[in-house]
Amino acid sequence: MTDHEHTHDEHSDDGPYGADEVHAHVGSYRGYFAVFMGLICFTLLTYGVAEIHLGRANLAVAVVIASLKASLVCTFFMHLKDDNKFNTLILIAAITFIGVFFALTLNDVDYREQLDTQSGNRVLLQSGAEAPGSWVNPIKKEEPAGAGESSSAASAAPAASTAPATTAAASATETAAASASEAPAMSAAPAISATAAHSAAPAHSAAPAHSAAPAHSAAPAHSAAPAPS
Amino acid sequence: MTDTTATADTEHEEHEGHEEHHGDHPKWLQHHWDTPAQQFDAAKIGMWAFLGQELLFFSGLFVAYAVYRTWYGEAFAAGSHELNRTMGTINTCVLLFSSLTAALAVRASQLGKKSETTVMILVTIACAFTFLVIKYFEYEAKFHHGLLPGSFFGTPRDMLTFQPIPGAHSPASELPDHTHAFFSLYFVMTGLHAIHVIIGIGVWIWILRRNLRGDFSSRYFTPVDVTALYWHLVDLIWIYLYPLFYLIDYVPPGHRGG
Amino acid sequence: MAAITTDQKGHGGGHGDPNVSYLDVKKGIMSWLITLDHKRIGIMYLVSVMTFFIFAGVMALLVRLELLTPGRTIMDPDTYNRVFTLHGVVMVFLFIIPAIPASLGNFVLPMMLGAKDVAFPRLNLLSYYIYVLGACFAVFSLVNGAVDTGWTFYTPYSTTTNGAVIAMVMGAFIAGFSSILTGVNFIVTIHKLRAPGLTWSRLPLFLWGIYATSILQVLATPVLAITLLLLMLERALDIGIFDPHKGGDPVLFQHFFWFYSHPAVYIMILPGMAIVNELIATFTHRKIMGYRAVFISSLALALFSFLVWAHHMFVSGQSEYANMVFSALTFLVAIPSGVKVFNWTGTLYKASVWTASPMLYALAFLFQFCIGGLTGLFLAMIATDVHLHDTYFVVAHFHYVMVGSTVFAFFGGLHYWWPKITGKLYDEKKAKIIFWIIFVGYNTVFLPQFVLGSRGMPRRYYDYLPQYEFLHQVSTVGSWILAVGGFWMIWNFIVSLRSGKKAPRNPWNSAGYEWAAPSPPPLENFVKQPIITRGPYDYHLATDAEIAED
Repeated sequence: MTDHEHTHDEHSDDGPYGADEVHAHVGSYRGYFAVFMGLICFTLLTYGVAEIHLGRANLAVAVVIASLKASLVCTFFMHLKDDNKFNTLILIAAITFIGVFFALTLNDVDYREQLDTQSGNRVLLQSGAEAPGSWVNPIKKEEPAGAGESSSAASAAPAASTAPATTAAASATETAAASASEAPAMSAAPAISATAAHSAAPAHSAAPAHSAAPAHSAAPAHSAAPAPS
Repeated sequence: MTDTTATADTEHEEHEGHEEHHGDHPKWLQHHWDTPAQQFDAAKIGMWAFLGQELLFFSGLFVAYAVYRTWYGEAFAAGSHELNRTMGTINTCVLLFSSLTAALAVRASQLGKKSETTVMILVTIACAFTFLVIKYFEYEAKFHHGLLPGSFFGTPRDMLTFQPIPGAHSPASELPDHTHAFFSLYFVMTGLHAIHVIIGIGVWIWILRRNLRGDFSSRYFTPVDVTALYWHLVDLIWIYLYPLFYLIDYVPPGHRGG
Repeated sequence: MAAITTDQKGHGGGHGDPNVSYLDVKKGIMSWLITLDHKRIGIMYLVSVMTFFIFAGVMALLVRLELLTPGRTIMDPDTYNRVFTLHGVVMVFLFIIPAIPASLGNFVLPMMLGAKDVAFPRLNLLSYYIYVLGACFAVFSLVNGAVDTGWTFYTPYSTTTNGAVIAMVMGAFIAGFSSILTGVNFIVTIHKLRAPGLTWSRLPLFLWGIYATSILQVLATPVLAITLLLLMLERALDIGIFDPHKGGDPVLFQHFFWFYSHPAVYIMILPGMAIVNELIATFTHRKIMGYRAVFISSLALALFSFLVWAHHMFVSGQSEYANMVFSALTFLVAIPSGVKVFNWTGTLYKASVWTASPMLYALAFLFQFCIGGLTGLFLAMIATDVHLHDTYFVVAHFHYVMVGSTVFAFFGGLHYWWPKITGKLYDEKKAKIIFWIIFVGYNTVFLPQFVLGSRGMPRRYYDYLPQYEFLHQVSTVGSWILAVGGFWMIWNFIVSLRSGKKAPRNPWNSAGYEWAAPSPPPLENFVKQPIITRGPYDYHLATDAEIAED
């Protein structure tokens, strides 16, 4: 904004407020138009970048460009630059708490696990890697009866494009999968194939279950095959 | 807030109306305030607090978006391809332009230029209507293709009667599982945004009326300023909605199915 | 504060006699319904919140009555679910969240600032009517089958159960906007309407507490709004966001819900703590020890309360990693509360304490808040929470902080400011007896519940094993004692309105700024614009005239 004009009351005969100013900064046509052109440029940029395949970076770039546009709008159109600093603080506070909301919710969602109640091992849904917080139960448990247990585990093992099974949601997912024979196994949280679990590291036991996972949308019988290895 | 001394602004287009006074307060200065500056600052802080809550209001939806896009990336990409990027981009530019005219409306009002303020507000309202009209056509296309939220996904429907369209084909069956999650979020988020646009139009019309009545001057333009702040927020939300819905991992039509 | 009589702008002209109280300046029901006076709005809120308090309290009495014996006592299980849900929803959304800020806060805040009104009086009235509209939806839900989900509305039960869920949720959604707008109003008022000389470092701690509460109201409540909106859409349109059949996540609902509801519990406790500051200062005639520590801890509580929500979800199936993070953060949030208790205790050390009825409530607060706060730590630790979650231990914990602390502080504040609000005194001797009845009744209800919970009695259960019967009966009898105390307290206030002695300007000899105004105050609160020259607890600087009863 090159042109700073101030609102000023010319009518000094209007009582004690004649000389009062509202302290507002008046922007210039050129300044506002320049910001607008900047916004349009960023819009075209983001449209263009979207055509280039950067994989996961596409999302990051899009959000960064959107944030730059948002900053332009806030700083110039919304006058944050010239305002009381408290207004900016309000915006920063809101953004911070939104960030906390995102970070901690995604923290949960990304690390949702499958729990093997027999062994206490927890593995991540997506990769099968050992989850933070997991532990190896030193007391070995009895192998659960029937392959139904392990097939319920595999069918509950979510791949990326399927319903994430939380221990709460798992039963519902399995109901949807209509595996009546697995009904007794459902009350235990989806169990990773207990057979392989104990002597090997947890990640190991996850592997057979997860290699079965992509097949899970097919009948559970498919995934039962590799599990009891 | 910087406090630089004033130089008289001689660019008034028209003579400011003589304000009605109540005791020693002009009509627009409420009785519990001592000075116009105090009232103006208070209104701005209040509006920013309100905008803060609007941001938090939409944030929940963005978090839901983040969660479901993480889980169903492929479905989200497929859903995004079904949206009309051209219309989305035009809508973005329309809203950005309306933000410009809103800022210019505030500027004109700060300078006491009543007719310029009127023009700017009218253009802002026109842009808002344009946005809604384009949105209408976009939604209509989705309805006709059965790309609807949740359990309605897959059946092409007429938008106004909501009845299924017999014989129409929906691409839903060719789309990945869980694409309905994309459309659920699309309709809820853009729908809620559109509701905010409609509210914004209502408020602008009221401000326009007040402006034509001569309520505003270079000493009192607060309502125009806070309305513009609200309008910029509406624009801000769309600035984020646009890339998140329209620009996901775009694969040009000829290269799909690889 | 020397109420210097310089009156800079000649205020008071054109508004009638500044010596006429706000109660007499206009009469008739319409003058109340369209009032812009923060004091009248505060009273309308007070009447409304007390009405809902009594209603939800009766629901609680019914719950406790049902639990007097195992099996059916007075109602069937579905009704029981509806009764406790109603108790929770009405108590949380229609009573405790608005109570202190919107009733006492509305009345006292501008007066403590030396201001004539809040920043946005019309918005204030609108907030009240929005609250009433929300309440109407809740009542509508009540008479149309009510809700049996618990006040937390967890999915997928809430999206699939029958009952008037949408109406109830709409009520909470609308009432939330009342909360948001009140928060906006108070923040701006504290920033822009402080009297000359009232610097931030002289701000009464009550106002710091209300300020922190307002931040939470503004920034947290909208997340509740979007949560409830999504719940309504899920129920009405089956959009599938929380439905596992459609790839949705029910635990996500819990994240959304608790992201608001955890800061909400701080919206409930911070005003209670705010009142206790004032009570302790006045009834010991001392500065609160560590003024800066106390106000910083209020702001810290507001900030940290956003970081801990998923400690309500340790057994929901969220990731263990999230559990660990939230447990650690929850220990952090206990620290500012501890700072406050330390400072209050320090203020009381070797003080000359006037155990007037308001102070009794403040002292009970200290005792009960310690219990409530410390038992929260058991729940913050995952190892113990796994056993205590969804048991009566949790019920006892939150009732100790919400009722034992906040409601006691609310009662204390009500007693404290009653002479200012009404211009009448209540019977102090009876008030003290009533306090003891309430104190004994309250602790009889809830102390045994810690034991019940730690021995395994689950919450929200209609029936229970015989081994829990005795403690349930103790708790129920306690509820009757508490009810007697509560109703008698209300009766004592009604008697005061009808035939109470006229209150002096400053019956508690307080140095607080609000006591400079007459009891009851005129429309614009002060006869002359106050000018502040000392802190609110500077008893050594206050003149005899200011502290005198007058």
